[in-house]
Amino acid sequence: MAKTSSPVSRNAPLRFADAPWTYVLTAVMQGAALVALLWVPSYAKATPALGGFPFFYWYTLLWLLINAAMQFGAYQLLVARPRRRRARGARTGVAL
Amino acid sequence: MKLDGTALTVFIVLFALVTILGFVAARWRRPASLDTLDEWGLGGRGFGGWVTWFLLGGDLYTAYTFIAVPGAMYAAGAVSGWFAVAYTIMVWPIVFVLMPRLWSVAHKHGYVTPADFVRGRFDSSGLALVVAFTGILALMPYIALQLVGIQSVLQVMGLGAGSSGFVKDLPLVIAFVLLAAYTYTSGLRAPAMIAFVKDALVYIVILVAVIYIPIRLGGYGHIFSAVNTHAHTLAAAAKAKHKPPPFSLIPGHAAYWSYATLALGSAMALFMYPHSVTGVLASGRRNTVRRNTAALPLYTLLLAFIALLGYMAIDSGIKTTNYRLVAPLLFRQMFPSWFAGVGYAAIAIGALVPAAIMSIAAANLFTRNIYREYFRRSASPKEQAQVAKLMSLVVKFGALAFVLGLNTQNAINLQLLGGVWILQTFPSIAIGLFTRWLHRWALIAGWAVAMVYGTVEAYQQSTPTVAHFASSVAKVPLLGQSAYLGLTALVLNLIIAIVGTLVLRVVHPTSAGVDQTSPEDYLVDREDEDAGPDVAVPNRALAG
Repeated sequence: MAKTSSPVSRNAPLRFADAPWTYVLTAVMQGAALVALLWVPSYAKATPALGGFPFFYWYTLLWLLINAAMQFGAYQLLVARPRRRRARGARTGVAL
Repeated sequence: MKLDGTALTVFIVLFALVTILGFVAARWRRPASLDTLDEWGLGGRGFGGWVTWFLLGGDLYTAYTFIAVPGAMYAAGAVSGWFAVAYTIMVWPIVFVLMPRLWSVAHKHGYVTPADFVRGRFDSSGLALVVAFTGILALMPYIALQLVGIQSVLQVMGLGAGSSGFVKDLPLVIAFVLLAAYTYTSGLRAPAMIAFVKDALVYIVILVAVIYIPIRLGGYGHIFSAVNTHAHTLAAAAKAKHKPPPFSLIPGHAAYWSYATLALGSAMALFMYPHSVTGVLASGRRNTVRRNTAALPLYTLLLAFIALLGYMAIDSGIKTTNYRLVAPLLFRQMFPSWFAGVGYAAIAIGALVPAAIMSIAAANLFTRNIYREYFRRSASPKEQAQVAKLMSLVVKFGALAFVLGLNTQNAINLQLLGGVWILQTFPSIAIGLFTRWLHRWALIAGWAVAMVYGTVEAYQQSTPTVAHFASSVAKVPLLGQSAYLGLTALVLNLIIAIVGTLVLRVVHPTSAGVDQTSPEDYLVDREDEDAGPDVAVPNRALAG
């Protein structure tokens, strides 16, 4: 997997082989909202209502928030954190 | 409807402001020349996180959001309306996984359109033609939906009332010609710049609407209980005539499949649309879009509250059989004239931005994958930009044909019909980003059968008032459940593609073509700087 461009680009994406568990975790985070919202029978009901909203409606909006948090987390795990590490590695001269 | 002078004045002032911006945009970020597709069609490929957020928002939240979704909620409730909220949540994980790969390979090889990518990946100009054709075709009803949005607002303001024929449509034609003119001169920079104004207007109007209107109506509890009563009344009336209930507050057993497939199919379709791809490729870095998926759900939240405008209309006693007028009628009833004018402007400008981006995307497709491929191999960049500009005009008039030829009352169906078609490019584009195991000829065969199946099925859907193309949900063969036609057709498409691939590998193993991309190409990022996370490229910064 030797890339011709050296030193390792700060922007090079994390590969599956580099961090398999990070990949698995982000996959779960990405899949959560899909599974939750496609499983319609689990939330197609009126009660318990919240602030006047039937369950069906506020549950969907709850997943909107959860999913936004998941997207942020996945970006941090898969993109931002590896980049920060590489930046530190570059400063201290330790190759990652 | 009666002409509302105050609202009309506010509307015209805001509309004029945006038009001027559209023309000024040609000078934004001062390109040396707009005579290349990268500049005209992708805004220079250097947009940072903020512009991309606004541009994708402007791309995705359209007259669909303001006209079609509240109309569907008003007419039928959760199944054909609220699914839009589920779909615009589910789309972000899909974007997160697919789009950085597409950005990288397009950046590496200079691809402008999804069809460019398919051509390089599968070594097939035939498959690229198929993808380009589908993209242009699917965009037409989607652009048509934007025109319907503008038309609805003009109608509620009382323009053209009482007159007939050409005079009646004159305001729409004027709006349309202005849009065509600044798209022609400024390219993608025009909608990118107008998107800021649009979003400011939309956020103001929606924040006021979702706080002020429920207060006047007695809170969300009151709204939902009024809708519940409404649903029971309709259900009782339908039962007396031995028909299924036309409205549901909560999806019933029979609608689970429809709801889920409409949401999933629409989510998978959204970023196959050429204009969404345009928004992604115009970003400056690989992960700009990915980082944006955490912030873009804010638009989804907006969409949810806009959807509820349909319920607010039920509670406030608005009666119309022309569902596309629901949101503007609600504004007219609830707001003082001047603020209703702001609301109308938000809807109309909200339709202009995506209409411009969509016609640019369709023009890029035609130029790159049809004109240059089949007519003028040696077309210079300048000539390509010129052809694209002209094509952006042609596409807009094609959209007009959809407005005239289809029933626009059930406006959400215009978008779903586009989705039926564009979903059939999913195997070539989305699966193609990860593997080229599927054979190019098998992909074409799967596409062809699915397109015919989807179109014929959609054509046959009728209601007592609409003869053809009345719905995008139909019974699935063998399954016995109703589901989104686009997804049913996609399953058929995939089965044929897989079986076809297996057969072709045996009978004609050397026919797979040569992949012009390598695995590394799907991971590259800009290497020209070492700047922080996904900011705009230096010296191309926002203020430029």
